[in-house]
Amino acid sequence: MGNKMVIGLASGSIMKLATCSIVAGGAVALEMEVDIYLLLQGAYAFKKDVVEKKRYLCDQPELKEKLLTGLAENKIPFPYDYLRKLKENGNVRIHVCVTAGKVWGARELGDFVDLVDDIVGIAEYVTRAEEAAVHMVF
Amino acid sequence: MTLGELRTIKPDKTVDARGMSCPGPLLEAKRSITGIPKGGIMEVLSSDSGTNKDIPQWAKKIGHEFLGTVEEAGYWKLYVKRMK
Repeated sequence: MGNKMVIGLASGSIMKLATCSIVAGGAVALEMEVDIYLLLQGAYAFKKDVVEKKRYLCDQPELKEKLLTGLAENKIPFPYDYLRKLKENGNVRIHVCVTAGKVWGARELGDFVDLVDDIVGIAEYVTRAEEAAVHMVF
Repeated sequence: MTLGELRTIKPDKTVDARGMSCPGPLLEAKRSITGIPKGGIMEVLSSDSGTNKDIPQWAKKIGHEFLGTVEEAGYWKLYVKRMK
């Protein structure tokens, strides 16, 4: 329990993805296991077609360019790249809520980018969140 | 350790994380400390002020010994002794 973080990512906004990846980075540095559950719009943001065509959502569109510039200028990897790096260097797993996937017409693991580990039921998320030392929702 | 003692340390490894933003220097420290022997000292160079709080907390949580910080022009040198 003491060394696990669970993140519920309910937003597909690139702003929240950046937040999620940076927080997960801190947890990985502290040698915590991190499980990220992609809920509804969060699942949309990890669909293969969305990422490949760079159809990034932003909850504050007027800040999107500033965010992207700020990340680059401060050598903060783009959220998907950041999460990939964290998965390579730590114990990070990314799960898609099966219902969220269905909403966006994505029913197979192959419908999502290869950062996603599996498709799970919502009870798994709730159970892991209950067990975790830290549970955050973005 | 006193500032004078910190300045005489000859680290087993130096991690130059200047220009990186939090938690980049911390991730580099985590990755790099495995490359030095137990009892060895790692020096982390960081221009991100958040690292000054993060590295001591990380060291405490993981079980390494934080030795101290030396401020230089535009960056900090932080020293960690690998304990396990």
